[in-house]
Amino acid sequence: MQRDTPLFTEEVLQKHVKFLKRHLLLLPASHQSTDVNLMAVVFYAFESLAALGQDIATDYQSNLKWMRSNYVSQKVTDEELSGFIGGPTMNIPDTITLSLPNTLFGLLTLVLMRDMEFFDKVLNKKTLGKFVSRCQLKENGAFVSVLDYKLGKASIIDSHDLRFCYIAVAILYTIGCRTEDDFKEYIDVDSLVEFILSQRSAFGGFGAFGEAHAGYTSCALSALKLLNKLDELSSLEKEKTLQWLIDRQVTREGCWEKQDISNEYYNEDDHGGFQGRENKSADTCYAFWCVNSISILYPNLKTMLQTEPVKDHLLNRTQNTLTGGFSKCYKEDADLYHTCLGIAALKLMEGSFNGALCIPTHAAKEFDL
Amino acid sequence: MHGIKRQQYSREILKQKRIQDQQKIKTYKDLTHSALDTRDKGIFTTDALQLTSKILELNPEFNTIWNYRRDIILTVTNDVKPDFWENELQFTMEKLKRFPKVYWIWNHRIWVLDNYPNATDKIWLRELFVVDKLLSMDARNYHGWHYRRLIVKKLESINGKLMDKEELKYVTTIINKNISNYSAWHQRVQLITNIFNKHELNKKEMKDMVLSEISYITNAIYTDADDQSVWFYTNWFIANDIVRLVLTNDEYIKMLKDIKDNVILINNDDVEFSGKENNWCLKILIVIEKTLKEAGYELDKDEHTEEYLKKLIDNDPQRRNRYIYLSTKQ
Repeated sequence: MQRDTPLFTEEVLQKHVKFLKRHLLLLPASHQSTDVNLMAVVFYAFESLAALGQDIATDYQSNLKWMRSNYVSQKVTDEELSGFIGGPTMNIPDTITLSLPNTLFGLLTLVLMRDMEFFDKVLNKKTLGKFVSRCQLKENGAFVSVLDYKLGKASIIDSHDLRFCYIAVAILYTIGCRTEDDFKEYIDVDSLVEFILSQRSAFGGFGAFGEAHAGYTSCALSALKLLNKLDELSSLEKEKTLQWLIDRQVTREGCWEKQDISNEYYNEDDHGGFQGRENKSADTCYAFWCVNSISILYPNLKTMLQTEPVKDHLLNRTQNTLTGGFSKCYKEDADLYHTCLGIAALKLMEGSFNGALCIPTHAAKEFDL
Repeated sequence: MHGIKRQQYSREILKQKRIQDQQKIKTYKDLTHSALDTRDKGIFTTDALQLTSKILELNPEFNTIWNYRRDIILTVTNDVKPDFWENELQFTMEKLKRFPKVYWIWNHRIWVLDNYPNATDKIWLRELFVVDKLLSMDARNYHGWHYRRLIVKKLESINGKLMDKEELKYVTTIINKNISNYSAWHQRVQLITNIFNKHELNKKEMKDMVLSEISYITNAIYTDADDQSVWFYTNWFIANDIVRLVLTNDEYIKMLKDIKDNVILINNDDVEFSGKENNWCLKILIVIEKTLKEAGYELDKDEHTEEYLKKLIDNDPQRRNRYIYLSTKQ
């Protein structure tokens, strides 16, 4: 099998590395609002660096203590819960500030840091599992991202959607759940699956309010895959979803050549890129959400999807070889989130990436993930 | 020399930033600690309210603080000036303009409306107008559409009257303004479905509705044959149960054949004008042929699905693997 030519020249690679490392030192003003979500910033940067082959375990050894310090125990009524908080500002006494997303970011960051000792000696699976368990809504099986600060319970008026369902499953998978019984120790698998299925769009894909969305679709499919429940979808549903995903790829070939320029969402220069929903512009992150989804439904990816145009779109349109990083689209500046997912998409197509967990395969393998 | 100077400069900036950050972290921590402390002490005053405003200014996603704010409002409600509730609405609006996708702000706004003293349906009607403005800023904002559906539900329960028909008029206006608003077409699907399932329409009214919808679709595909939203809707409409229940089988077959003829015309026009087939036309013709067969109509020599798939392979090369795959399943 012919080896792919390297994605980046050494020069461009170093630009990306510098861009990513800068975020770990000095957050640009635009990221101020994420001070309460520092774990997200750390994860996006670390994930990207690891995917680019950097030895972050060594480079950031001195920051390991800080990362571990975001794993805390918090008590609510009579029960102890554990998980990750977004950052030091969120360690507020007598208040539950654990968050599901930050917990996943924290765990995966430590996986990337190859911190086996944390998983063996520090992590309290029982209390972490309790936190995840509490985030599940009895009403519909979905998950919230945070608990009520007083009661430590999940509230149905809080945001609960496929993202948090995916995150809950990914957390449990990361701490060792594989069989249905493993998961059932912490969560109600049946009601969760029921909720995921309730988010199906009649036209293929998954989304809120019946309108399919590539991000939600990726979350739903990844969750079902980790739960080993993909066959809850009928063949017809899988086909419709696959078709919906394939249709999200922007193209200028064939009959699309004559696409009316006045369609503000269509840009022929985005050829190869992916949109998140019908009639929306191509966006770097959707390359990952769509390619990941397609690869779950159809593992023999390259026989269903044209990956070269996707690669071209990312490398030539949204990659910023001057500052490093990837942007959402051509006219925007590079940002951490799109850099993370742009690289993830490229590596996924290259075959060296675990899409369901969003980490490089080599990192996943080390922890049997 | 140059390099060394620059390195020191960055380190200095870094140091300053760290000090600033430390200060910011301390301020935020102090504020939240103070707020939750007063909350724990059972203090629900307007001063405490101001404290929550400061925190929400920095972090509108801190739901715990929104909760505390609501507790405070309920406590002080009898002691505040009459314009308090309007100000609260303004507070949320200011936040929504900056963070239109933060669920907790939408949530708080609805709570304010729900608890607005001596409220009539006027504040909810006004809210429809507000949502309209917000949707005009971003017509694809899920939250906006969902919020609109919530407001409509409230109005329906206040007035004891369903509003699907009015909402259909609204969605039609939105679509007419911008035919490629997929979310609006999607909303249309829900409304038509509701109207049929919930209302007591008599047979004639149902038929009129279906016929008017057929004519709306026909108009739309001629207006913009390149827009996928239009085709998405057409695809849904022709295959769904409502139409099958309302029309006789013969009428249903006639509808499918009429649309088929129009689609072929549009496609031929495109070929003549640009030399290329219309992707959407080809796809929907495949769907129509399948649907006709299911309705018991014999296509015989009139069946062209295989040919359409071949054309799609040529005309949508990026997805050719998909069409080849479908072709093998025929």
